[in-house]
Amino acid sequence: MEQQTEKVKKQNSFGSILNQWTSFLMLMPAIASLLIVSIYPTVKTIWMSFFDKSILKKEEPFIGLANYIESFSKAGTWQTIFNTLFFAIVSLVLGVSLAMLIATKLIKPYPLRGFFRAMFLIPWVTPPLVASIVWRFIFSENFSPINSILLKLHLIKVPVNFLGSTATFLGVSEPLIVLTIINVWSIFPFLMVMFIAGLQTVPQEIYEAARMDGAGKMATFWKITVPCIRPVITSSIVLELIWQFNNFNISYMVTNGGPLGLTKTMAVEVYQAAFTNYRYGYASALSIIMMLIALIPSIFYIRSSLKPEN
Amino acid sequence: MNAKTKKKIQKVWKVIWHYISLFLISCFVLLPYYWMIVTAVKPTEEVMQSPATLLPSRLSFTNFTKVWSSIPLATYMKNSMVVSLTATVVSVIFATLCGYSISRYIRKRAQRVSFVIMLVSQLIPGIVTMISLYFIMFNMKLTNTYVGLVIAYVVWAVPFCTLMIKSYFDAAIPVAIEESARIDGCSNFGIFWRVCLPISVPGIISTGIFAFITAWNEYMWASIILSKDKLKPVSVGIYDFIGQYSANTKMAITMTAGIIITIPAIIIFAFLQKYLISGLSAGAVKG
Repeated sequence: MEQQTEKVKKQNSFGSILNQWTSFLMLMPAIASLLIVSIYPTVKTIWMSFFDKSILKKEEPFIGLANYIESFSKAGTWQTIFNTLFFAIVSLVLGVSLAMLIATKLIKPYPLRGFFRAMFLIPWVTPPLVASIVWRFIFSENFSPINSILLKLHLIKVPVNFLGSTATFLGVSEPLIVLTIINVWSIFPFLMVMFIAGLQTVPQEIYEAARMDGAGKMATFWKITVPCIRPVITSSIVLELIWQFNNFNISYMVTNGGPLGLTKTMAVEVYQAAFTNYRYGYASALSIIMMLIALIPSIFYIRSSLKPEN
Repeated sequence: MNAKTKKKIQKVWKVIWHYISLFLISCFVLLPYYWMIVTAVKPTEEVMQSPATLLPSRLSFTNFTKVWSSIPLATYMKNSMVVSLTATVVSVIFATLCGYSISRYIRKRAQRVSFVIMLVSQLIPGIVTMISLYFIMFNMKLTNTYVGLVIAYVVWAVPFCTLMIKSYFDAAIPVAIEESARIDGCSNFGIFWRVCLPISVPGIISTGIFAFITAWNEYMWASIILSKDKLKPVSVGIYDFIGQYSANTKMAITMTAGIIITIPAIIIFAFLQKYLISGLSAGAVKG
């Protein structure tokens, strides 16, 4: 009897050890690849930001904080930081409002719901390049349908150069505002999907009860809908804010940062420094500054993500 | 007029307003597609007319035949498909394994650390990694290969996908189902493979959709590590075709190419849209 159990134990020992390690081994593919391809390069970029690494020179001397000092001493950097913050925050606010408006409409069981849901998702699957080029023409001086309409209605006498003017509106350059609107178009589908998914989890009985109590539309939205889907709202807003802060495509593809750098975002600035001017050390420093600014909402996000678990 | 008919009128107004507002939003959403199509089917002499005509005077489909000889569109689309699909499959495998482990064993230290790594790496701007990743890939001779693209796309999609599938496992798959399998002597991996995975298909599909779109839409990294024309995905191929300044003269061809590469994605999406929302919805309670 004893011998038998001993035998069984021995046979299973490899299997049982493997079984104990299963949960750890399951983590490994993802975590190992992240450490190698994401975390390690990030640390290396931080390291590179203290060196004068450039394609023009053979040696790469250590220069301390000189790259950082150079980037902060340029007026262009401050303009870029402002552009990026404006672009990210304003397109996020507008995008969230639009997405929430659509989501609350498309949660109701009216006919054609599926059709509208699918249609509003199309911008998400349109490659940013395609979208950017079309928008570039829509807001161009000579080939714009908007200009055609405005001219026909006699609202303007000469076509407006939406993306090329240096005029400002409330202190913000007009091309940057146009770019922000384009970005709203491209980011709202993701938010809409997240909000619809969240709204589907809210039990209908709560709304019935609210209606019985005579709660108005606005009160129902703020007192019931928003608190019920708060986790979805918080995480998608913070993520989207960080993604938009890092947005490269719209600024690069629609205006290439112009005119006069008025629409340049930080990602484009870093990209040009590294892969157009080949100043890798300087580009690294810029990208680290960018990461540090993005860290502020990030801390908030990580703290709120960790809370319910612990 | 009694109260009943008044209520009925109110209800009808509500429905009408519902569709009017959706229609107005649709105009904004569909504007680029309208312009893409109109520009593509305009006769050549009309394309460069300024101010632009809002509708073509007559339909001309020559662009749809010309585009194939001006841009190697088939090659570009094949490249995009191969890279995006490979990246999707790998990301989904990695994310599902990792997300399950974090969801079920969050009490263990390794899982908690992994959870934080996921959160942190999601927040690192892509461009920060790209600068030194370029040198790493260059030294490993991975520039100008599909592998170099796929590796990066997987790593950029994995954090969000893992968190997405983790909250799906947390909320949609009750641990109780797994307990009974454990009592029957099923191994830890067996429980995941035979019990949990088969009922998690909606969550896995929506994770896959996310990974696919991330890869399909990416431009920056592809433009950095690819210079060979026959490896380029659509975005880079078309961007290099028009260049930054010669866009106007190639307007009609570019719009035609845009239509051709957007259509397959739209068709696939029209079918998958339902899964995307139901998969996300199950995990949405936890955000």
